[in-house]
Amino acid sequence: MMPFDHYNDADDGAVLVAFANGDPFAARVLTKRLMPRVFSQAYRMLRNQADAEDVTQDAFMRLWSIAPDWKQDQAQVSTWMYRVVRNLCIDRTRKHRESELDEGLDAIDPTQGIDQKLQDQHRTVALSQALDALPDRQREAITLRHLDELANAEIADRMEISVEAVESLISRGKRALKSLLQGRKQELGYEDDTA
Amino acid sequence: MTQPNHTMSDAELDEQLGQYLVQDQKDMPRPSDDLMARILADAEAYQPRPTVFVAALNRPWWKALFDEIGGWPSLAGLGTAAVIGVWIGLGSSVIVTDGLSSFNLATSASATATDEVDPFSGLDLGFIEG
Repeated sequence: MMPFDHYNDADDGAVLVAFANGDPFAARVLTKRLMPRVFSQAYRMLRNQADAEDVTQDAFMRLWSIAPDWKQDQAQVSTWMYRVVRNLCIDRTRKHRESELDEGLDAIDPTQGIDQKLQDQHRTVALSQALDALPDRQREAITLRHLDELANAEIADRMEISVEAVESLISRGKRALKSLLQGRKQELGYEDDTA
Repeated sequence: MTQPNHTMSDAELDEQLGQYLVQDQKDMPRPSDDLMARILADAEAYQPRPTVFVAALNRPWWKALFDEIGGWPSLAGLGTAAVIGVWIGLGSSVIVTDGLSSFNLATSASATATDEVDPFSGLDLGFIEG
């Protein structure tokens, strides 16, 4: 039996309290549980491994520092982490944009790098470009719905908006996606209207 | 030949999106090996220490005793009391005689020698006067 097996049934909040009480195994348990999801969220928003790792480390550092004041009934640790990562990514993206604008470069091409990696997968590229062209919050809501398979109430909790606002974001996002993809039916495997 | 017009339905869009996002997740790079080590190093630096408990386990017995009796102030008080006790013990006759004479409690004018001092004379006076 591993020394931290006794945390198997404990929720993240309880493990965080154990960390704050000085348990040396609690940090490893929480990191193993949360790191994959935190990293993938950061990577999806930043599309850069080094930046995603920095944000992941930064988010955990904030979690460790808040641990002594954590109240188990205030929120789920995963939801709290999601918000922290989102804010860190937004800050980082904003700084990148400002620095690139300062250098007189063109606006960021959010698909840069993806085309190279997936150059033979036209469908993926088309969807990727369409998703990247969406406003951030619409893309975030759609991703949470279709990848993380969260219910609207959970999405609302993570994004700190109402359920109605989530429904509106997803609805508008899908309309925009359809519109963006209309001109790329061949890449998506649909027949062209005029073929 | 003209193909039938095909407009993407909501269900098709949902399916495409789901497939794309799952594939995108699979294609995502893994975090580097040292990320976990970096995070755990931060955790160690930030983790509150149970300082009182550890200090109690590691301190020597004399330090524990020293803390238990109250530290330097108590030790100074104990030292002073001990010195005064020795002083009183060695010179008790003179001190008692001088002390009694200063309060005029000696009952006999001849009782000036230290071996003639009645240490309970004050008690007699107390009985007499009620």
